Parts: sequence; C-alpha cells; structure tokens
Amino acid sequence: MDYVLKTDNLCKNYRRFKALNGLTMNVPKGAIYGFVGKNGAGKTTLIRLICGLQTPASGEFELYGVKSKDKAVYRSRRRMGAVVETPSIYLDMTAEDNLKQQYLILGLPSFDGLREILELVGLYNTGRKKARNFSLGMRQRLGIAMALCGNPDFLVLDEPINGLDPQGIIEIRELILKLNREQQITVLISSHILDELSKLATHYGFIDGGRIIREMSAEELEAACRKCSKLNVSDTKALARVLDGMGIEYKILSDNLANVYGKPNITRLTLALADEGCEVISIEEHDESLESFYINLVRGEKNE
Amino acid sequence: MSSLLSAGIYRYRKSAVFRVMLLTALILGAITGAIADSSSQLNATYLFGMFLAAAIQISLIIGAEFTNGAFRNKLIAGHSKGKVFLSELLLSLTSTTVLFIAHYGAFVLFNLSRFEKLETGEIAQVIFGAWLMHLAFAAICTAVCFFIPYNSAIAAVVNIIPVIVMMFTVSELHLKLNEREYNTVYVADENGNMVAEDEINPEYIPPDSAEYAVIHAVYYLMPCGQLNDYQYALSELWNDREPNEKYLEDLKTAPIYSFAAMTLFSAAAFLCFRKKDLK
Repeated sequence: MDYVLKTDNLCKNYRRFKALNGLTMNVPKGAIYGFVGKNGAGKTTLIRLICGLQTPASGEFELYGVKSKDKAVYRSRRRMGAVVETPSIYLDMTAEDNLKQQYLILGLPSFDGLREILELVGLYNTGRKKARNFSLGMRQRLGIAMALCGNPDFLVLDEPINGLDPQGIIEIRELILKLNREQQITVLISSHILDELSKLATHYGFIDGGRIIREMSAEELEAACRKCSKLNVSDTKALARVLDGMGIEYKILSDNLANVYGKPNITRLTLALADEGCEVISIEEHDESLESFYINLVRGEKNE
Repeated sequence: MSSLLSAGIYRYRKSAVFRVMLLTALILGAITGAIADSSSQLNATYLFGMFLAAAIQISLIIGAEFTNGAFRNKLIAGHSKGKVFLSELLLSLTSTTVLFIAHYGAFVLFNLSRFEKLETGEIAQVIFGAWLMHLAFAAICTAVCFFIPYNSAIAAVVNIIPVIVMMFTVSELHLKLNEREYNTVYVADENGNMVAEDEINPEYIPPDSAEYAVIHAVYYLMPCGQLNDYQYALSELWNDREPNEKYLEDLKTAPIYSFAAMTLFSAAAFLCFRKKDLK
C-alpha cells in the first residue's frame, strides 16, 4: 500500500510538557484519515510538524517517501495544502486577492483555476468584500480554498468545522468528499467531533497523550463497534442469572435495564426469563457509537 | 525566493498601511522641507518623521504576517525559514527605500538651492550614507518584529520608543565626543585683574583613545547618531556657507557602521526565527 505520510516515533516537547510521545502513524494514499483525539492530545502539534512550522525533538516522518531530515522534503510539501488551526488569510484583502497571493507564493505561472477554486468553495460572489468582513464559515472556506491552490494531492485540515453552523458543516463535509472522490485527494482531518468524522473518514487514527493508541480502517471500526441489545426487564437479577448460565456478556445499567452484547437467541432468552418469573418489557438493538468506542479505547489504555 | 518576493510586492501594493505611510513620508518631507527652507538652521528633527513612518509600516505589515498566520502558508508551500526571513528583510529594505525617496526627495526639492552648493562626490556620499542609515534602521525594526512575533501592536511600540530614546541619547553622546580639551577659566592675578587661563577639561576624551572609539562606534551604530552628524555636516549650507568638512570626513565611515548594524541585527533575528516554534 502507498502511504502519503508515515511517522516514526515522533516526539515533541514544549519545555517540560510532552506534546508528542513516540507517535507512529500511516496515512494511506487516497484515504480520508480521521485523526481523533481530545483537546491537548497532540493533533495540532503533529500537523505543525508535518507542515514544517516546528521541528520534532526526536523521531522523523516521511512525506511521499521523503524523510523529514532530507532537504527534498521542502519540494514534497508543494504537493500538500493545509489549514492549521485558524485559516491563514490576509484580512485586508478580498478572497480573490488572497488566492492570487497564494498562487504567487507557490510560484505558479498564471492565475488559471483561481475562479474554479472560488466556485468550488462557494466564495465566487464575494466581489470586493474584504476577508475581515467574512463570517467564520466563509473564512474557513477561504482557508480551504487557499490550501487547494496549486492542485495539492494531500490536504491537511485541522478541525475545519469548528465554529461552523450546521449548514456550513454539511458544505465542508460534502466538499471534502467531493475532493476525495473526484480528484483522489488524500485528506488528513483532525477533529474531536466524532459523529461528523464518522460520516467522512475511511481510516482512523486515535490519539491520546501524544501517541497513537489505535489505527484502523472504517471497516475495521464498524466491526469493532459492538452491537448490543438493550433489555428492559422487571428483574435484572434474574436476567443476570440467566445470562451467566448462557455465558453471554452483559452490563446491568439499572434495576430494569441491561445491555446484552453479542447476538443472543431472543426466543431462548425470553423463555428462560419467563421460567425465572422475569418479564421482558422491551428489547432494542444498538450499535456502539464512535464516541463510546473512543471513550472505551482511551479508558482501556489508561487501565493498562 | 523570487516567488516570495513577487508575493510580497503584491502584498505591499495592496496594503493600505504602505500607501498611507508613503503619503505620510511625502507630506512630512514637503512640510519639513518648507519649514527648513524658511529657517536659519537645519535641525535633525525635521528629518525624523521618516524613522517613525518606517517603524510603523514595518511593524504593522510584518506583524500582520504573524498575526494572520500568513507565514504558515509560505512554510507549508515548501519555502525554508531562511528564505522566508530573507524575503521579508529585502521587502522591508525596499519599501524603506521607496519611503526614503519620497520623504527626502520632497525635502531636498524645497531646499534645492542649498544642496546645489555640494560637489557631486559630496552629494553621492550624503545620499548613499543617508540611504544606508535608513536601511540599517529598517533592518533593526524588522529584527524586532521577528523577536516579538504575533503582536504587531507591541512591535510597533517597541520600534517607536527607541527612536525617541535614541534622539536624546545621541545628543548626549555628541556632546561627550565634542568636549573641548581645555576650558577657559578666569582667575585673579597679583594686581586683582581677572585673566583668562586654560584649564584641562576632565570630561575631554582624546580622539585617539579607546574610549572615544567605543563611544563613536555606539554613536554611529545608532541611525539617529549618523542623522545628527548629517545635520551638523549640512547645517552650514543654511547660512550660505560651505558644508562642514570635519563632519563630512567623519561620515565617510558611516556606511560601515550602517552595514554592521544591519548585519548584526539581521543575523540575530534570523537565528531567533529559525529556532522558534511557529503556531
């Protein structure tokens, strides 16, 4: 498999604080890689390292197969575009002027494709409006537009939907999916809004305490997120006895509620409960959400 | 590098700050030129506005690069920190040159008849030396912006305050360097008549001493120190006399000090920027 980005034991310290603590990850080519972690986990720090804004304390990464310590990595960065934290835009310039500025920085010979980029992000009609008068969503979109200058094939987006309204979130999501499907752009997107990531990502990297605790594809995540049946019964003690007898994993939530994992035979279960004098009031099927999977994953790491 | 410079020129063209400072430099040059024309002496404060315009312009434009995160775009685009720093320095120096031409061009136009008394070589020396002096100041302001990133307002204040402090400091240093060797004191002779006698001035610093060389170096490393000496060199022109050759002779070394100040501050700022973790 081809990887756009590979990191090997990256470490970064800010005085005594270890922001990255041996982070190793791999971003496959053509993927939408969801980088999941809580605030302060190290997501933005990693992005700053691969964008060349900071240097690692130890470890290295490879961008398109070029090692970070190799001077050729500067050329490799020309194939990527990034929005790090807040959009890097000139507030006293219009959207078009900002893109022209970016074209000049990239050394592109002409401004071809500039209007198409503005249309793609929905900023074509902003005219002479200065960026300081843009809404937050418009500024985010302008930041993405600037990252798209020069036709990059690797896009790094650091929490791009922060502060956006629901409409804005949908537009950004559809834009990312479109770029990935139509132009095969690899996307590394960091977020702590797990529900939104679950609609986008093809691969996930879960980060906590400055290191990756699990990397998996979307298919592997779906398989790992456990299905369970939520039972509402009249006597959870009786339920517990029956499930223990059947060797089925469960979790008692309250006097009347319990989660039963795996795929129990409902007929056998209800008959067994009836023998114990326990009524089954309702049964609901649930999938474990990305959120609960992440929380269990982090808790599991802490307990190890 | 050429792409960074092209982008920078585009940015300056679009910058309201640069346009306002250019207009300010032009107007200030014209106003102070008119005031000097009607005055009986040349005062260095007439030429001060140029320093303030350059300090404000450089602080706000480079400060905005940090505040807006625009430096990130350049590094992500694959440019090294060295190239980014060098391009910003060159742009500061170029924009300062443009302000220099506007300000001093207007000043000299109002006082053309006086400057016509200078020989071609002296004109070239004055223009070249004054230009390098302003470039040194621009390099210092640029360095301050890189020492204090992410806050253009603080950088602007830090750049302006030393200008005012320098004004007073160079006056004191100029007095120290030009202390007379002997003071005239009046003493009574045997008949009770007051006669003048020369007494050694304890504040006098011999020109060939190490102390004089150090004070002179500090005086000339400060752009305002050189400006002070240009004032003294050209002040005779305001009274229809030839320029003061002593100061013109001293000012022949001024470009060396300007170049040294530019190099020292730029090198320090680059080393600081290279090590800095950008957000």
